[in-house]
Amino acid sequence: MRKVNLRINGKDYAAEIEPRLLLVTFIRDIAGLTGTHIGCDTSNCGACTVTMDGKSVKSCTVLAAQAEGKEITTIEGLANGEELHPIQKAFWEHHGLQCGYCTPGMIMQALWYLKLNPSPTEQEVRESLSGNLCRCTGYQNIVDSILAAAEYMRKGNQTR
Amino acid sequence: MASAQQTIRSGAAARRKKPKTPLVKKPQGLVGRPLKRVEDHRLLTGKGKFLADIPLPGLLHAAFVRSPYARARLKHVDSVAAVSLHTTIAVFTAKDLHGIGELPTVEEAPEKHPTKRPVLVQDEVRYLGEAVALVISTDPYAAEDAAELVDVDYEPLEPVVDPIEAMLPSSPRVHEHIPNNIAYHLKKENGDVESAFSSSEGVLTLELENQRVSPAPLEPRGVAASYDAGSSDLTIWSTTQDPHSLRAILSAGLRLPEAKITVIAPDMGGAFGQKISVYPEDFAIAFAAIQLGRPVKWLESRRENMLAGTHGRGQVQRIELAHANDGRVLGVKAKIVSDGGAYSTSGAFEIPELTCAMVTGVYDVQDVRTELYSVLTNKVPQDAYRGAGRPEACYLIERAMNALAHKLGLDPLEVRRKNFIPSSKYPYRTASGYIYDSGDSLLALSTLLERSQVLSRVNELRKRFPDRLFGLGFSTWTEITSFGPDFPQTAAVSVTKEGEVMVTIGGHPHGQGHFTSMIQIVSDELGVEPGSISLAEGDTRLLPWSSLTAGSRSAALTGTAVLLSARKVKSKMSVIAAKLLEDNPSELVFERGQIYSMAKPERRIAFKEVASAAYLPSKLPEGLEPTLYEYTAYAPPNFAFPSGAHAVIVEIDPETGAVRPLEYHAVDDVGRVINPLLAEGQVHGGVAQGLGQALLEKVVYDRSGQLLNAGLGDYCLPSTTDMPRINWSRTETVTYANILGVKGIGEAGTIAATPALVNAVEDALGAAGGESLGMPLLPELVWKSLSSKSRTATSSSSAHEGDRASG
Ligand code: FES
Ligand code: FES
Repeated sequence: MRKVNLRINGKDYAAEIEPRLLLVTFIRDIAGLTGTHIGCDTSNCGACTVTMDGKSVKSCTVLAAQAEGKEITTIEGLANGEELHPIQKAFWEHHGLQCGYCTPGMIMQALWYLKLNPSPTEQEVRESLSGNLCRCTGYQNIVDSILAAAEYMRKGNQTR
Repeated sequence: MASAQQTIRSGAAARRKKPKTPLVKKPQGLVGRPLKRVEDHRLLTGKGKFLADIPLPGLLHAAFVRSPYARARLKHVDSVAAVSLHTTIAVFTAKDLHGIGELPTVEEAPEKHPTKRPVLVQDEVRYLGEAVALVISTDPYAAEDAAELVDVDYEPLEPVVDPIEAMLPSSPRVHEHIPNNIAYHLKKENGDVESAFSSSEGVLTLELENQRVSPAPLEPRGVAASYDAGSSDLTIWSTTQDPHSLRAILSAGLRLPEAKITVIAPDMGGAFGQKISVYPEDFAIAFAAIQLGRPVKWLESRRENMLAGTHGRGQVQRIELAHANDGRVLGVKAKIVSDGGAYSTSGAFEIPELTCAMVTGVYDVQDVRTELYSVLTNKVPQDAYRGAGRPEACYLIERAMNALAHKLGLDPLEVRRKNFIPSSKYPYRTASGYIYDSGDSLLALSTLLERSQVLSRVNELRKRFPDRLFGLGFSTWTEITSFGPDFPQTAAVSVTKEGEVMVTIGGHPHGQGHFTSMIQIVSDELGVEPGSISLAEGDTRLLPWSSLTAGSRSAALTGTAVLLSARKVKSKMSVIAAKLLEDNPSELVFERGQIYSMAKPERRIAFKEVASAAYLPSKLPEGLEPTLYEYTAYAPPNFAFPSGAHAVIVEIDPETGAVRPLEYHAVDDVGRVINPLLAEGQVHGGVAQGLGQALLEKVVYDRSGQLLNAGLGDYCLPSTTDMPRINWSRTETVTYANILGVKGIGEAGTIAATPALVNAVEDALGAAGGESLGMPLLPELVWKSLSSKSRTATSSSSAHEGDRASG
């Protein structure tokens, strides 16, 4: 067992953990943030995507111990109270989710990608999501949601 | 180099014309409008409650020990090492499951053989991943550690993996009492098939394989159970599409009254048919919770899901079309060998039966013989996967239509048009005895061609990029939905004293957006704002019974049950309002939270006021029962038959053999649509799964019954970059199958997309002189076909790949 301190959505969590504990388990079971999902055991599905120091990671592929001292953001850290983040809002408006299981991972991946590339093309959005699987939507509405979100965010930044 | 996709898109905008006459009805109320989903906010903010997210005090964690062999004699299970871990609470094997029944099978009948299926393996393992022991620990990681420490002694036996081989007398038997592994045999004939064949001008024969695939919902399965020893109440949380059936089956298996069992289906990350079956894990976890007196939860890993979650499809098909030389089909013979897996389940029997029954698709042919063999193999049992039997039927007939056109040198669309059931013949009785009440394939196809302009666009692409390989494929599909009458769908509508409307539905939505669509129906009927309507589902305590969420049935049947319940509420409220307004109850209008009569619209009463009155017996008309709660169990009198036409343009990279769908077009007749946003979403997802089967997906077993692709790294689901954009629109013919006029949308895309894509690849390869191919159309297969064709000039005996067609 070893003690780790993790900062998730601006809040500190300290716990005695086994070295093998995955970040996703820490987030879900210790921090109690169950919006981050698990869809596979081979790092393929992306349902567990969160950001670590601003960069997207698959939290099933990071040990909790490796996240020591890093800033983690999960889906729960995105909305500002009742006000949805532009990406969340765009997913709602463009019917970018059906069962909602892949959705937190998709949104967190988009959060990172749109920072990297605020004006992506459709093809670029598709490529940025190639590590995130969705079995429900056929992706079209997810891609459209992210393109719309990019626009909201560009406009939001201009007015600010 | 200009991209083919760009060319296509710019062309699309320029050419898309408005249809001359509107082909679908304009919505009047909320029904028919693209209302955004009311269920999304929680899912978008991480507040969904999926099975894994449900906290239970004192929870224990389960892991299953699963067989690494497809067939083996179970000799001994030693759990000493597992039990010695301080985190281990218990290890259960078959002999510990006292008083627990077996999993459901089929009823015995001539040529229909049930099998016995214990919850944990007793003597013989029959499929890879079958559960042998159950470990309960204080921690999920420790449960897996302990499962690894359970020492199982197996004597491996020779398995039977291929369904055709399984039928040979020399093959091992999956169950000793079933010769040739034929669990179910069914032969049906309509008309005079022999004379149709003998008087025809030719016979086209086609053999196909519709490979086994995994439904692979993004959330795997899981079950949790909690038992209150004081009240002997058992609560089960399960990823199930069918909570009430699970309750009934658990009641029989655990020998507990149904009244003592509650099944709750929480938020669910997709299902696609895989979450219909009742599984060994449901029984075992419930049993453990009862024994230990503490809540127990099991969450399936993806690997387990691939091994032990039911697979869909899995048919070896042969079709013969007796035809005239102008392309007219005169008779059909179809033979289906279905890979049922290790046990006789209703799914493994009924699904291929549907394939047989729907094999004539949208075509007018009456002399039809079908023969089905549902065969046992050492694989996980087969069950539904989106479409369940109808995609297999559509694939068979739509590939056959293309093969016939190819044989006769005709245009595949011309062959289809010649054989469509003419719209004048509806209602049409099919050879299998179904009544297609409405449909118009000719209209769907012509609308598709007009709106998509695919014919000229593929020509344009070929002209513009003469060195590249493009193909265009079609399918004109139909399916059967709204199964009944023995699957009633239920709903209740109540109105509180404050005028809040509460809707309760049976079954269990898991992505379809039922909250939104049901609210639209109720809002129109009761004239109240959608915001004042709430919905509850997924809990067997809410309603006495319901059938499942599956088979494109919910909008039609649950929707009808909701509508009828709302109407009953409305008529009761009308009586109360009439008394308060001193008016005639039959003439009242419910609109925007107000109730009034057409004759005197200025005299109004608030919906809320009438609701309050309903709770005060003193205010009610004589004899009227107080409160507002109405329930409906709706059993559909006839099935519904959506249909449509799909087209896809693909490009093949001759260097690699990779197939890229460039664009996808669909025109569907799904009857009335409650919410076009949701309906279109269903088509997108369905098409993705249909294309997935055509291009990528197959569970691959080797001869020893090992699954070679038991993870999402090797079993490839379509990803963002595999999917084209989908252009969807509709035509509408009227169905009277239900009062909503809904035919069903959930499976359309999956059914139509697979043959359309394979037909497109065949077209592309045909243009290059290639062979017809089997699924999935992996680059290697396509590339080999291309290169073998370029070699045929020197060798006439090049090896066949995939499916065989002959005339
Ligand atoms: S759960 Fe992390 S990638 Fe699938
Ligand atoms: S919405 Fe269900 S997996 Fe993406």
